Amino acid sequence: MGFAVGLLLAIIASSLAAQAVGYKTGSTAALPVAVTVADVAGLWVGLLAAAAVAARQHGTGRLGRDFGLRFASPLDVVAGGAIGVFCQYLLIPAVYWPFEQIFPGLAHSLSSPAHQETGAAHGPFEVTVLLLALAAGAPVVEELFFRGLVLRGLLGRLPVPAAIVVSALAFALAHFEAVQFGGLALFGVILGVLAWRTGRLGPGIAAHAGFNAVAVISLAHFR
Amino acid sequence: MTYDYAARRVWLDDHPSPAAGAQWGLCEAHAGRTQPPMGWSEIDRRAGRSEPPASLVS
Repeated sequence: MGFAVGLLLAIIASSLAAQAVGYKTGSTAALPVAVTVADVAGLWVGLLAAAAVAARQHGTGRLGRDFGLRFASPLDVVAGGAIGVFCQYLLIPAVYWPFEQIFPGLAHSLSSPAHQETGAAHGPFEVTVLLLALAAGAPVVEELFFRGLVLRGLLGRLPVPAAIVVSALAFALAHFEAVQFGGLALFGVILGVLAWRTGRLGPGIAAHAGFNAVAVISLAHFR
Repeated sequence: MTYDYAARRVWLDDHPSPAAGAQWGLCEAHAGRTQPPMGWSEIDRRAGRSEPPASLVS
């Protein structure tokens, strides 16, 4: 429900932003930064509202306690960030490598959504805004929803491996990207294991932030 | 320089294909200073320009 509301708000917010900056919705052109920010901000409202309602109705009402939204130490940030970079540049490329030998255009297709989201960011200000949205806000909100709310809810109903896999599939499905589905699902499993083993969201948030930050920075740098 | 107005995309190539689309010839210095308009993306395919690694944003 929260995801559906967030998706609806994301569509409305990004459509309004697209109209404001003259971007044709549905185009494959690079998304203006304002459209990307409006899109993720709309989604966050729905996801945060779902987590807040669940915490109030079924928990203590405190996100930190109910969903493990906390960092235990700076090590959470360092280790989590390193895991995110490892997944982005070693694990996921290794998984896709055999398929790239069969489909030579796969690497380009794989990066296509990231190019579209980051391609219109020019200059330090716009890149910083994108980093704040995709490498700071998105990791906190998505981890809170998918690992805090969804995974914790499933852990009470399914065996641990099944709960982690189902939450990872939901995370990958929520991105609506066919080619990237496998990589995002695999990353979702890593994030699920991190949340389950540590009992908190801090390491996963750092991993998610590292994963997105290196993508935004590398795509901005090479442009 | 090749551009696709509908896709808001610009490509820089050493030797673009004649059939690749709307094109302008640029010297090296001007190509290096080219900034696409707001909302457009630029893909630099000239020799010696390295490509970014394949990346996902989640």
